[in-house]
Amino acid sequence: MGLFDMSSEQKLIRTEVRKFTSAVLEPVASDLEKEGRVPSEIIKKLAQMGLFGLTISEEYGGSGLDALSLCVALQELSKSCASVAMVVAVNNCLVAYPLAKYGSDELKKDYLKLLPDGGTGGYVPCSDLEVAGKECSLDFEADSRHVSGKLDIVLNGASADFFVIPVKSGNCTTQYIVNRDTPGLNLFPVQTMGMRAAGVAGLEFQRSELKEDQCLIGQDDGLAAIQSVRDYACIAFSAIALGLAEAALEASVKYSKERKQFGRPICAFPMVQNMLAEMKIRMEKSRLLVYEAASTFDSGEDYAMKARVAFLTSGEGSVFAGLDAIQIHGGYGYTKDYPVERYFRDAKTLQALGGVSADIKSKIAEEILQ
Amino acid sequence: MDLIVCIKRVPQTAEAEVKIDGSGKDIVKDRLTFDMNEADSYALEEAILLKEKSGGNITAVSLGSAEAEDTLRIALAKGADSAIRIKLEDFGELDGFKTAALIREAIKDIKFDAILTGCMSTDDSYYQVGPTLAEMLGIPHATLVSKIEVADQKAHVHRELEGGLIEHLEMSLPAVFAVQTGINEPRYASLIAIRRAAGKEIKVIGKEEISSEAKLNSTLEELFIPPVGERAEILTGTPDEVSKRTAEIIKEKGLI
Repeated sequence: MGLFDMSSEQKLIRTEVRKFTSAVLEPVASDLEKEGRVPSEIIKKLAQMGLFGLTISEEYGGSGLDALSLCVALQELSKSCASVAMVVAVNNCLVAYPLAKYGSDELKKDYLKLLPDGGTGGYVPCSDLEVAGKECSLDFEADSRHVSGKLDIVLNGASADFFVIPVKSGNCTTQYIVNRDTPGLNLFPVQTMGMRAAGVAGLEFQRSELKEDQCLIGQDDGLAAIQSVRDYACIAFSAIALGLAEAALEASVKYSKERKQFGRPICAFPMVQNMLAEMKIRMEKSRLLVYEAASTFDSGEDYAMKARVAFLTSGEGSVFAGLDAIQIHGGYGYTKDYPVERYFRDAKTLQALGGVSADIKSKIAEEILQ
Repeated sequence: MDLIVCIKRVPQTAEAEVKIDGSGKDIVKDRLTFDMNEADSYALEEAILLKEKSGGNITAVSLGSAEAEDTLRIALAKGADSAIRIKLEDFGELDGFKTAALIREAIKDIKFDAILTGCMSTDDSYYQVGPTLAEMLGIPHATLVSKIEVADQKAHVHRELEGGLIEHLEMSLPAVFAVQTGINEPRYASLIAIRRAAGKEIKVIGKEEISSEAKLNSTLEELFIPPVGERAEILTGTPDEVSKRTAEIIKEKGLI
């Protein structure tokens, strides 16, 4: 009996998502990177499976599953294609969750309902909203509802039907929903090191009007609400990192058994065994923390601290796993013939997109020191 | 159209390292993953397609351990209406004949127009359950089925033969169809369907509910990995030279 034994339902989700990912995603994961986005036919299959609306309530067309089930699914998706896992995580955690929790009935009807059927929402992350500069939030023009400026990083940007953007309103940070076809809004591509199929893009606004009824998180809820959504996303990103670490370990075990040097498979060498063991230890630590954070979220208790610890641990674990996997693969490790270089690039990118480690650590310290 | 689909939970051994256990009659299964037998997933999909066309009910039946209930829940999530698990733990060693006899007992009170099975299971590869079950029930059967169409209580069935030939049969119903892989594209169970299936009841029956006089027709003596053979010798030369050398080798080996 383990600390986090999955329910029968979660085991079935894992098995079925694994089957789906190995048949549908794995064979095309490298091609998706080249394309720089998840094509619509794959989005359609993900939606049919229920992944786009995994945590959305049945009332709005979703599957109504919990955060732990989301983590199980993301872990499996990530093992085949972390970019696709990223798109699913952003949709569920950064877009659907705030819409369900803070959105008006109209916003839920207009936007939340789109997501389970394959609609995609883009999200603008920023490292620290309290000191956010213009690169990660916009300001209203004086006495006007118009905004201008650039948002450099938008998750799910390339394929999104609408975007959740931060806007400064006086001293407060609020969030608005803007449609892709909003007048004055232009998208520009952003090249990223990893997660290349996740469609990271940038947004440029030229006197775009933000209507009052498009406000998702207003001054009343403000920064605390935005932070709680980001903490929830930390749990999902941790699960993606865990999947990447698992994939790196599996690939390394397979390769080290096949590859022979000096008449022995390289897994017989202590240095290789040490790397494999380190990968496994980090992965198991991450697994416990990710499931613990997700279970805490599902129980309704305060999850912020656990989410941050899980993200830092699994993010770091996946980067190490990617590096060690490249090392174990020797000269092949940095070629495109093997997927481990992609695992590393995706892990490092995920670590950055989820938030700056130093910021997250200071939040952890602040809480300890209270 | 009421249908019964026979489903087996099997270890996934295609890409795994398979080892024989201490008994010499089974494989080590600790680190293997299990899933629905591949051909059975095609049989299930075909049943769902027939149901979508003509209505009716699908009953999924599995002879297996408690874990087989997970496989049955996937069948429920995909479109089966009810599920029965026959307790493997109650019936000891099995072969194709005894398996068919137990399934016959388990379904004796269920009205059906057709039974669909996979043409084989990837673990035992006996190819027996479908045809044996049909014989026991006294109804027609077709194996290696690659197409099923039903009209006016008749089934038009395609069977795959060697050499790329297709055999087209007209069959009366009820009948048993042992389905070939590739007949359709099995769907994935959606997450909401899995969630709903998790709460559905699975009927579990064992020796208290069914009895079978069926004895094993064959018993497993040994399971082994064949020794790696020596390198093949490629014979070259004219046909006369090659045939002469072939005859010599056969004589040298004492094969004739």
